Amino acid sequence: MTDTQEPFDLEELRRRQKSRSRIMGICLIGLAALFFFITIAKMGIAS
Amino acid sequence: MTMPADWRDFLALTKPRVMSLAIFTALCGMLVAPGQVIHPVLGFTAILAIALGAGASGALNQWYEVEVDRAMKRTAGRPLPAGRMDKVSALHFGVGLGFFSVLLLGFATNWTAAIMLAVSILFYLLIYTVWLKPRTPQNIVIGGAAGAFPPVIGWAAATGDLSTSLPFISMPWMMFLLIFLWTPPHFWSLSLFVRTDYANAGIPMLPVVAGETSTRRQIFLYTLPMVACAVAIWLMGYAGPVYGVTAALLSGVFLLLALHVGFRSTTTDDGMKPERRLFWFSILYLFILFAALVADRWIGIA
Repeated sequence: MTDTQEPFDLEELRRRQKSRSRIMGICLIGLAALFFFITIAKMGIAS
Repeated sequence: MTMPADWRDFLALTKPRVMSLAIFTALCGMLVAPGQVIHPVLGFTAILAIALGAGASGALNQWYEVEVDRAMKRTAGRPLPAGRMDKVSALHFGVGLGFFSVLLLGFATNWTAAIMLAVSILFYLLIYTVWLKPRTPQNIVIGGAAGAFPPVIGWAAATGDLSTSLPFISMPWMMFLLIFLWTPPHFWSLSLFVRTDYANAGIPMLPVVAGETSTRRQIFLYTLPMVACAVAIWLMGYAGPVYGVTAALLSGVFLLLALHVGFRSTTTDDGMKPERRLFWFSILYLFILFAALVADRWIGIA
C-alpha cells in the first residue's frame, strides 16, 4: 500500500498555531473581564 | 501529523449567519420583557451565551451531517466536508461550547433560561438533525421550534419566569409561535430553489418528496397562520400601534408574495425569482417585526 501524504507545510502549521494561540488568548482575557464585570453586577444587584 | 484547523473554520462551524437571527430575536425577547430592565452586563452575557449555544447547535449539526453536507453544493465548502477540519475537533468544540454556554447563562442570569437554552440545543441536535431531518418532509415544521427558542430564552433571562396563567398564549410563547410558523414558508421557499441539492443528499425535503406544486401550496397555507399570529400579538394587546401597523403592512406583503409563489405556474423558467424574493423578504420580515416589538415597548416606556 502506498502512502500518499500531502507535502507538509511547516510554515503554515506555525502560522495556524500562532493565530489559534492569539485567538485563545483574546478569548481568555475577554472571559476574565466578563466574569469580573458579572461579579460586580451581581454584587450591585444583591446590595 | 495533521494540520490543525484554522480558527476561521471553527467560527464557520457555528453558522454565524443563522446565529445572527438567534441573537437578534433573543435580544428582542429580553428587551420586550416586563419589569425592570436587565442589568446591561448580565444582558450582554445572556446574549453572548445564547449566541454560543446557537453556535454549539450549528457545530454539532455540521459534525453529524458531514456526509450530507458533502453531497450538497451549497454546503460542500464547509470546514468538515471540505476536509479542513477533523470530525473529533468539531465534536469537542460543539460539546464544549454547548456546556459552556448553558453554564454561563445559568450563573449570569437564572437556571430557567439556562435549561431552555439546553433544551433548544438538544432539540436542534436530537429532534431535528438526528431524528426528523433524514426521515420526514415535515422535518422543518417541528424542527423549526429549535429556532423559535431564542426570544423565549431572552425573556426568561430578563425575568427568570415563563409561567403565566395561560402559558401558550403568553407573550414569550407568542414570539415562539411566530418564528415557529414563519419557518416553513421561509425554509420551503429556499428548498424550492436548492431542491436538487437536497435530492442529491437524500434529504426528504418537501419539494423532493411531495413535489413542487404541493410545496408551493404548503408555503401559502403556512403563511396564513403565521400572518394571523403576527397580527394577533397586536390584537391581544401584547404590542401597541407601531408594531400593529408594521405587522399588518408587512404581513400583507408577505401574504402577496406567498400567494404568488403558492399558485404560480411551475413551468415558468425565470430562475425562481419569486421564491428567492420570498426567502429574502421572510428574513427581513422577521427582523422588522421583532424590531417593531421593541420599538413599541420602548416608546411606551418613554
